[in-house]
Amino acid sequence: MPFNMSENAVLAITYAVFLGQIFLISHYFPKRLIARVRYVVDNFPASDYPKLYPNAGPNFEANIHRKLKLFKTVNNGIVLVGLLIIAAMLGGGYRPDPMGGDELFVMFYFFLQFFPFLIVAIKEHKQYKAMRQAFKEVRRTADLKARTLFDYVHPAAVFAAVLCFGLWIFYYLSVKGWDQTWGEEVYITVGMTTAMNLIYAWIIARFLYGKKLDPYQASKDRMKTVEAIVKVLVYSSIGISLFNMIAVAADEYALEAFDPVFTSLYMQYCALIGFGVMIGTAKVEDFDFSVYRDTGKAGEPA
Amino acid sequence: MEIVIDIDAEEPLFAQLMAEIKRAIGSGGISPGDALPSIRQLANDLNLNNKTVAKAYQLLERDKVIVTKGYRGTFVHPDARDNMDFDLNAWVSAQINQAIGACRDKGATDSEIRIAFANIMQNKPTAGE
Repeated sequence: MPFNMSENAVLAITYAVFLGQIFLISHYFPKRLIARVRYVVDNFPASDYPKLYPNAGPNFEANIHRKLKLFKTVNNGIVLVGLLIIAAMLGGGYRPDPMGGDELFVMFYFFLQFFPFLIVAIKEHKQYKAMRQAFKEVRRTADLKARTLFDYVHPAAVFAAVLCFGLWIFYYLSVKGWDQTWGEEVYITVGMTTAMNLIYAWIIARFLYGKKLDPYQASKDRMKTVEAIVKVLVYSSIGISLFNMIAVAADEYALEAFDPVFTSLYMQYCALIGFGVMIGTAKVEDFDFSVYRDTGKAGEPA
Repeated sequence: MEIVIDIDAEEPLFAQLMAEIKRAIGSGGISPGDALPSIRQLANDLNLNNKTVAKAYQLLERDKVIVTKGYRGTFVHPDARDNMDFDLNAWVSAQINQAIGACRDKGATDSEIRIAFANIMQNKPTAGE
């Protein structure tokens, strides 16, 4: 065991961190998301804000509340699965594998937790698409200010992301040996992480300079949304690099027994960044919903 | 500084865009030296074709209201406030009006003036060359 820590101590840490993952991602965040959607639907109904719900049919609010209940039920089920996993581990006498590999159950469980949020993201994307298709305004507005990356995130954070990436590559290749013949695994690992960061950069550019997702959104609200997304991606890039370094260090210093802990903490970090920054930066309570009111003739007050 | 265009208006979109940028400069919403959005950013924000915005920027640069500095982007010209009062189209009309007036004073017919104007525009050899 690493650092002469008792096996029971490692187990206790593993269970505690995994419990944190279960409740943070499948209980706390779904609760916040449901509250956010309910706030919008209850305070800005389709009857008064038709542009927000271009595909609203009869009993729209009742349908939404039903779907929110389903989302809650599914996440409660996922919590139960997580607790059953812990029960099985306790009952089955689970012992952390000193050679590593146990983090796979953490990752697979995270994919299960992530699935309902993926469905929500797809629905949101379809909602925006419907809004763009229904957009018939003749008056179009734009801000005459050039947008740059540093309008939305501090340069230090971007520098930290680049630095962490560079440090990780340097550390990883040092461990693999500069004078060694690198196997396929090295190229795949470096290639995938580099590709991930390039994808993040592309997404950021898309949100900075691309078409509006929501054609009605007020400029200041759009800025807040873009700020949230840029921060999420920059902090995620830092997270990937740090996690990769920790994973390599765990192998180097015989800390493989902690692999499930490190992986779970990284998943929770991703969720905190992805969800926490979004709801903290782009608060719906501060959004201007008057842009979604029916204006009669497109672009003119009703 | 927000600008507004109306896609249903009779005035061409690039002309509306030029007018809005000049209005923003005149009202002090943007100042000489301020960076303007890229063509792509403005086209996407207004849901216009890139070429419409590019044409507006090209004409504003011709009129020395904005200046493009390569990869660094587009900026409000240092003398924008003085330059934007100059209406090039009005100046062209005035020059042609003056030339036509002089030709008529000399006895040239409208047909002769039209033929000479067309030849000059097409870079064809004119009488006397």
